[in-house]
Amino acid sequence: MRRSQNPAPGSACPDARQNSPRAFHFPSLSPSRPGSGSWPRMALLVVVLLVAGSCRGEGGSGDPGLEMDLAISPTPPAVGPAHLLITLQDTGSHPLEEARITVEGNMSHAGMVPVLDTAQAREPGKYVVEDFDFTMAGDWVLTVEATLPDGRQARLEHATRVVSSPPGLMEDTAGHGAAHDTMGQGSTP
Amino acid sequence: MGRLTTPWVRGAPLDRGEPLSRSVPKARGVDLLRVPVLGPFLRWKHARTTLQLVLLAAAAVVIMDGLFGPQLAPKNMAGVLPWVHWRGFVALALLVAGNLFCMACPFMLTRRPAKALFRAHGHWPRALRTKWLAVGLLLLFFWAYEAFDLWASPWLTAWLAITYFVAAFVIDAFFRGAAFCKYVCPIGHFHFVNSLASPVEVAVREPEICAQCRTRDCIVGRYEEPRALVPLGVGGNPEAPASEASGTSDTLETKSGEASDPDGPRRPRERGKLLQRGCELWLYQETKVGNMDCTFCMECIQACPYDNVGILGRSPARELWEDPLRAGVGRFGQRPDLAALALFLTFAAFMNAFGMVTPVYALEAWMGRVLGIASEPVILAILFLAGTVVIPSALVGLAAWASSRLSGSGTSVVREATLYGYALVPVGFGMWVAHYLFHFLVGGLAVIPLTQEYLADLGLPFLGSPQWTLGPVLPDAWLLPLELLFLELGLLVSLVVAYRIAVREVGAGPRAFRAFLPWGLLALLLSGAGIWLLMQPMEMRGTVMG
Repeated sequence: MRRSQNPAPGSACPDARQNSPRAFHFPSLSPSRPGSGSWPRMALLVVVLLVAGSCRGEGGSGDPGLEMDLAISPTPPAVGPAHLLITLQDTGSHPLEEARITVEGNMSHAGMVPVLDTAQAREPGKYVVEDFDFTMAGDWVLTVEATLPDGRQARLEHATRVVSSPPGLMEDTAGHGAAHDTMGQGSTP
Repeated sequence: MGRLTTPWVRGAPLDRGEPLSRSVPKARGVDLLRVPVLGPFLRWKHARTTLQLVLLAAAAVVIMDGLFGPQLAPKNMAGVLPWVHWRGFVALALLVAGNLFCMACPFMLTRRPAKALFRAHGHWPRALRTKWLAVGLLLLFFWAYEAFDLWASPWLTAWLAITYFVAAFVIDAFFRGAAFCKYVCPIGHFHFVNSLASPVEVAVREPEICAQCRTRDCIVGRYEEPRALVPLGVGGNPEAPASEASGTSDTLETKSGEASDPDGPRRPRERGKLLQRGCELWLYQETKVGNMDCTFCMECIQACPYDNVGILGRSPARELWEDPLRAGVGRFGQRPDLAALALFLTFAAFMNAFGMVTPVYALEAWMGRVLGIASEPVILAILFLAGTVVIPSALVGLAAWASSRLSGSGTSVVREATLYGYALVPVGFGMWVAHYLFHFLVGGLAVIPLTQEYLADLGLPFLGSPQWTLGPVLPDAWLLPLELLFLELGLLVSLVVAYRIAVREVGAGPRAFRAFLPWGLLALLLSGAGIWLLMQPMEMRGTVMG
């Protein structure tokens, strides 16, 4: 054995790995050849098959017989509170009442806490969110979901760009300063 | 005790015939392989595969959800896992350990099937055996990140991951060794450069043992029938024809100088079956220094028959101011491509952060008006070229000229920049950590409601209704101080490194201070830019508005 001609210092056995004291040995689940061993390949196959079968769709847009619209003010919306007006009607332009309407605002970038709110009915077919808080400038997607008493649902996604401050204004009429979230601050509602 | 005189290192200009020696003393501190529980796990032959399978599962989820799931980034695994969690974990891992995410890289699971199918006989083109390709790919990536808002597009993120798998497969199928890792992978090169400041490295425990080793298993692999010292072919690969090795013969040698095999010269493939691969990035452990090009694959740890390779603690960033001859790399001071890579990533840290604050949109609008260009990708290309190539070249060139003149060293601008450029790595790393940790700390817990919704959409609502108020890992008030802390720690280390390089080059004393001064000022300038960036209002625009 050539290795015996060159023993590791202080080691009686040419291959010191065999004698290395260890408190715990993970099991050798495969022959000690590179690339061999069935379990990593099996695990790989299982992972791939499991995940490949786990795809979800984009989600539905709701009942086709319902129409929903969203208007935001101020325009363009600025960081801080905004007024949302949601109009819900059927395809015959009949306003729909007693709907439960939720609004979820997400930024286009992941990692920011969404803004959640519920609209209040004002007139038949018109629902309002008084102070929807845009917490940061940038691109937002507002997801409006309406559920009628009969179970029918409508869903709307509305993209909007929120500016840092209203053009020409240092403060809005409610006295809120134009909030500036910096890279040093997160944005939580 | 014999010393090797045959140059085993490949991939970089060498001083031929120069004895390889270890000028960097090894730290004798913590060895992760001897930490309870962690050590046995890392020593386990399938440790890396296990970690890779975990990330493979995550990558598969990212790809599937990115292609077929909701296309709003916060609602998609492809929008959350790569850009919030993976980047944050990478930064943390580099900060507290080392290149753990190359260790766990799922893209490398394609390497074995690729080489088995296509036999991988090719040699990576010599002209591309530098870091310039990686610099170009990184520039392309950072531009595409902004131009196509990759972070806001789950679909594009999925295709990015698919492209990575395909590229790794194709390159490793046709080229020997770990060509994809060593010459191509943009993510890997980000890790390589920033791990220069990490507190651990894969290294030998007792150099004296390596000096006596005649089989070099750590690089040639461990065979059933190990032979004595065998000349290595091109790239340090035992499969390559030995005649391509520079100046070495095909004759085996023992310590006594006699031929060890009475049957005559043998090629490595006649040594029996390969039991364990050696380092495929050709980092020979006896003369390996630091983390450059080390993927923490642990092949050397598994291959060494003397259990003489560990994952050892060290002084972070020390390898930035020492310039020994490094196996598989050469000398940092003789690698302008490496210095360019390090400098590019340093300045890219600030440009990447600049891309998400309000002033950048005003700048883009102004550039569009002045240049008469309406296309945002073109504007961004100009901006990124300016911010990562033109302006840094000017600043680094000026600092190099000034330090050469002030110190009287007389070295050229390029040479001076190559010597000192590495000093800026820590302040760049500090900015990367501040940026990536920010995203993670602000939204790290958002993966919980996302997972709840993901499973519910698959008909598995056992985790309950999504709790979308979950997001921040730490209170808001902690973020800015933490970011500033990492940035300024990076600055401090950069100042130390710059001064130590100056002492190394011109000797201690006033000359060293004069040589250090321009680089210290440049590091301060970068730090100031980072502070300004962190104080700017954030404004994240994405594909939703075009």
